[in-house]
Amino acid sequence: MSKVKLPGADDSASLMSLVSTLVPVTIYAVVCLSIFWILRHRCPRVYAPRAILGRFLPQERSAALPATWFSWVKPFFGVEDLSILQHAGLDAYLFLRYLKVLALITFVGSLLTWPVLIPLHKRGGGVATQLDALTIGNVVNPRFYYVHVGVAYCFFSKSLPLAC
Amino acid sequence: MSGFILFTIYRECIFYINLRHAYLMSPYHAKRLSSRTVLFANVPNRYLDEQRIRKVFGDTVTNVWIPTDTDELEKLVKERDQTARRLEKAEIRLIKLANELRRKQMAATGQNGSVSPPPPFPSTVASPTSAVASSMAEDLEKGEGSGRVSTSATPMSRLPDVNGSVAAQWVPAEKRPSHRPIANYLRRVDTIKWTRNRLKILRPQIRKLKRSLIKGDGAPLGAVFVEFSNQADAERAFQTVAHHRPFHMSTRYIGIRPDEVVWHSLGLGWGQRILRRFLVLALVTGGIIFWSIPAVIIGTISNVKSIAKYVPILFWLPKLPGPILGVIQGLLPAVALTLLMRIVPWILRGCGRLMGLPSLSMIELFVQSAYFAFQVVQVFLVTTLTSAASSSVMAVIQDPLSTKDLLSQNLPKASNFYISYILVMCLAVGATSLLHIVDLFRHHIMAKSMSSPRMMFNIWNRVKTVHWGGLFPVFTNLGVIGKFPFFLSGSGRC
Repeated sequence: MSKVKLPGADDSASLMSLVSTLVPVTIYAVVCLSIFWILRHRCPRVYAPRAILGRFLPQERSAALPATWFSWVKPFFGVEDLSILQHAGLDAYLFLRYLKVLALITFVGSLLTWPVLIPLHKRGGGVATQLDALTIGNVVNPRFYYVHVGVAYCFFSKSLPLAC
Repeated sequence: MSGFILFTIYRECIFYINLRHAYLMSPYHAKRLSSRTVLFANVPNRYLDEQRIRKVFGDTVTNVWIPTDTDELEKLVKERDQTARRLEKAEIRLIKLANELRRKQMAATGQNGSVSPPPPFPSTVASPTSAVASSMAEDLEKGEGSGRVSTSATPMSRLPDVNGSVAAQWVPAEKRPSHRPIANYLRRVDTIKWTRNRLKILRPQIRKLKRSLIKGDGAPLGAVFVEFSNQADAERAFQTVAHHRPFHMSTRYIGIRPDEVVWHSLGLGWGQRILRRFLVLALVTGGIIFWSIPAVIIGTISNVKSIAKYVPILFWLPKLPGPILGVIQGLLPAVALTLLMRIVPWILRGCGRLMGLPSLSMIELFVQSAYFAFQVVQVFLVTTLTSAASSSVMAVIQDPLSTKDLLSQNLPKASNFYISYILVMCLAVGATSLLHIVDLFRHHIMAKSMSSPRMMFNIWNRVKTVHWGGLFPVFTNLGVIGKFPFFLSGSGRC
């Protein structure tokens, strides 16, 4: 395997582009969130249509959260998924469940892969800098790839469909 | 821990199947008319007959509806509705105008309404607005005849008790709402009179057409709605073959609510259905390929620093300060990609309609699968490849045989772009959808400037439908991005 000197190997802008994405996006998100926080109990038609609107059938209505500054947070996170199934329907319930499953898979995936692979990539022997040093492109020795194969098997695993 | 993903997916599948069964069999759902009704499309002419359908499906059939071609009636009804809306708008405008003028006049006379003001216009002012309108309206318009308004000599603060238009007391004829219909060769007409006359013409036509359609004169559409007495029978009919020839009565659906039926696609024959499906799939495939052009540009931008050296026009790029370059390489392409992909579901929804899918939910389902293909190809494959390729394009030109190694070395760098993309998706898109900026504008700015009560009611009462077809694939693709680069970059090297 020939090692080619990459044109942009040592002047990566990856860290900078991460920061300069993160900063404006975070500012934007904070602005949006604070506007939401201020307007939440003043505009019930926008933020709680299911609680106030007469066109929903009684079983479709959802209980209104307290119209206060802070005390709505706890009941909001206490809303059961099952009550969403009953009030908002199958689609909404499955969408929430889908998001949760996705989050679970990616979280467990990062727990599996990060502790093994990130140190491996970092010490892979390549010349990449910044965030590029954490990618598989930084690994020089081909034998290291067996670790990737092993981790991939743990994560995806071909054995389960056979077992089923 | 092994096989974690597959374990989770299988568990979810089993859970979903159980939940779906429980939902479908719950009395709330099972007793509904829609879940007891099966829609058959591509029904041969011989079977467009209630008796024959009853014979096929047995005694459990309670109702058979054969929709007929109602294009003409629909056209008339649409025109009637438009005319009625226009009349309503004009009436509201007139009322507001009259009220304003009346208040102005009362203020001008100095009395706060207790003493009667003099009549504003002599009766001659309340003349016909235009020759056309008045001649048409002469004997039809008993209620609105502006020529016959007797502006009583004793006007008062409360509304005068007069025959005809009360507004004529304050509003001169030329100030009344008017428009220029094409049917009248763009000559000006009084809107209220014109629309009232039009409604008078339209109503009997609609009634006549309706009566003949109900009698069964219309051409049947080739589709049948069959209502069964219970859900089990409906499912039985739904899951069995109803006709011995292929494609006939084989397109069937259960549980379609009337408000989500796409009526114009019910009449399509099976040949046309196949043809349309083929064409739309070709269109979507072509769309995926050509949509990659903007995606390529975005992917290139995300690694623009690497190619700037070789493109003389971009000589200024490496000289930019770090943060600005970071914005160009990180934020800009991520936001551009998000916006670019926003347009796609709407185009796909049009495609689904074109394809002849009979219900809105089915269109959403089509959008979901087609949009996922779009997402994977554009957001994932194309952007990864171009982001990697653009950074090594010169090295490839100098030494083409090294492409394999270069790609394998550069492909993983595309993950930087996805960090930006996921940040934008989670923080910016998430915050925006939490803010409901469109709804805020609709309810607190647009609703304030609405003149018509109907519009205000609609804004207050109408709930926007959630288009799931455009929502799921975005997150599915995030899951793909989260899991598979790992695989891809590994296989790129082998």
